[in-house]
Amino acid sequence: MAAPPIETRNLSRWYGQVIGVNDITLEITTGVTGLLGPNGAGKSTLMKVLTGQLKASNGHARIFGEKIWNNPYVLSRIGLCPEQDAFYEDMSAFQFVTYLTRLHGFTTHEAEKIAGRTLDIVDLAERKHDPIRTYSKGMRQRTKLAQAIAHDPDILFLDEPLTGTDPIGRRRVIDLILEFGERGKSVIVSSHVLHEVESMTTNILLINKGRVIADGDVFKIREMIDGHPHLIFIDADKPREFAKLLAGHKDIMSIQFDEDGIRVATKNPAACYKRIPRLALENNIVVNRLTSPDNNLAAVFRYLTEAGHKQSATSPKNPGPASSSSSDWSVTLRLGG
Amino acid sequence: MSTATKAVKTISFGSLLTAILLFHLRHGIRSRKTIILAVVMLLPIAGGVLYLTGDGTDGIGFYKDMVEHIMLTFLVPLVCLFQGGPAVVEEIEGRTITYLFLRPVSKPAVFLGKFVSAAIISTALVILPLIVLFFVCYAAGEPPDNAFQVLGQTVVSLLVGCFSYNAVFATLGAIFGWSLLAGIIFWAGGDFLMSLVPILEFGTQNFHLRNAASLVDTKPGPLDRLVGLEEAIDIPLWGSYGALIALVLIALVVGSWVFNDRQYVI
Repeated sequence: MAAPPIETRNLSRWYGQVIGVNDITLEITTGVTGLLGPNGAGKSTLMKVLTGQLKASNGHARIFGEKIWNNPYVLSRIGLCPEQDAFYEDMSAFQFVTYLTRLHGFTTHEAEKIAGRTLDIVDLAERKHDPIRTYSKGMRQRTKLAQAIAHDPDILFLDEPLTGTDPIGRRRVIDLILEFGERGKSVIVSSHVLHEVESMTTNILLINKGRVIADGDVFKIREMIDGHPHLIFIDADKPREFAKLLAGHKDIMSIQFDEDGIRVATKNPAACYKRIPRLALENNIVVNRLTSPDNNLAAVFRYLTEAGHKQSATSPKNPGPASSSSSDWSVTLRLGG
Repeated sequence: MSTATKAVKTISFGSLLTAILLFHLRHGIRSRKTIILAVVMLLPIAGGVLYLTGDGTDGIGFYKDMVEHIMLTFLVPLVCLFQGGPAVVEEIEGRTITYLFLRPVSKPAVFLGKFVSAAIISTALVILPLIVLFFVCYAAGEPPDNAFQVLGQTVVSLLVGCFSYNAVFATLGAIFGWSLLAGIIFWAGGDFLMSLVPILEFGTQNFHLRNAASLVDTKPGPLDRLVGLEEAIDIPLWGSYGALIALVLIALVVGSWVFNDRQYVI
């Protein structure tokens, strides 16, 4: 039986006393997998270990059954779009991608052809000979993506790939990710924004405080999240009038006023998000800002962790820290620590 | 798609070394620090021109003094500190090293490629002004018969100096992940000051480079007499070259090994 593309067993990585990832056991197969977690959850550390940037402190990680650290076989089959915005600034995207593709064993001529083709794919053809330092954030993001996919890897790791991209660039990146997944490759996309990941896959892996706390179908997790009161912050020119309008709806659980606006807790965020612009338009209210403190997922993770503990406490079959499952959910909650 | 049997495309050690070398040469030559160092290296020439406008000057004598006291002691280490030291460190601090470590490449070849490119740029920065300075001095007065032998010896000595200092500074960069302070401590404390102390001086690059260029004073100095040396210990030229080449090899082996196994957390 062929080894899974990605496999970890009790993988831990510490930075001195600080835990990066803790006791992670998982298998990732082909298709797109979303790696979701708030900032500092351990997503980047997990990616760094899986791409051979760091060694595991404990346990192990394998790609196609092989150890990762300093293994050319593994490195030839993976691509990473790192989170950091780091470049050789004076180079053009074409030189950058050519140089890095050349290091995969292609001749200079082959590498140039591949770089040109890849930069076309990421819509950078027109500016490909300009210095990277003149690029917008979105263009820089697509340059990073180009170097990651140029050698046609079997596994693609993307660390917050949509950061800073404009709507068109975002669509292009998402399409590319979907296309990679449909071609039978493994794509692991990290993000701290749930709806970003939802636009790419239904298969997600939730990570928090260095641990995988749940994995599986995003719809089930979304249901759990939607059952949890969702906070929406509204900065409008007539806050009291707007609060009055919102208060008449059943899903609204509470409304709080603060200096900048109102904080609305709702049981049905989808309906509430639709309603807010409609009510504003109908009643001639100007909405200056509409944000959600819950979008950073921290609250969701708190909720999931609490829900998991309740589940753990009521389920005698729960096997403990490594992984636990319930037939009620198509997601697997992993509890412990 | 079969994933287990896919053929792996990798780059050979030689091709990788060449690719890294050419890439960093192209970028290193155009960098701001190289331009600043090139300007700094013009200072001995300017000093030479000013000094030699006076009457009765010993052009080649002045040239030898400049090489011994200014170029070998200060300018060569300075150039190498800013070329060899950052060879690896700039990639770590600039966080571009991630891209290199994601390729199926030999990390020692990456290290060596960067070292060689830094050494070549340093050599160009040092040797070209040296040759200009020589001809300025040569034209200033009646040169001795062995003037071109002096030139040959100093060129070879400085070339070896560029490689040995770059090897040490690049290795310090690989070990510590930052190079400037480590390099300054090594150069000022471990090399320059030790080169002033009898016996201990034999353990310094500075001494062996001066000896290789036949610039070491054969008469004992006050410190030599203080430790009871009536005449300076004569180290043959080949001994100094051997020591310097051994230092380069040891530094590169250590640097490659560290670079291969070290995790740079960025």
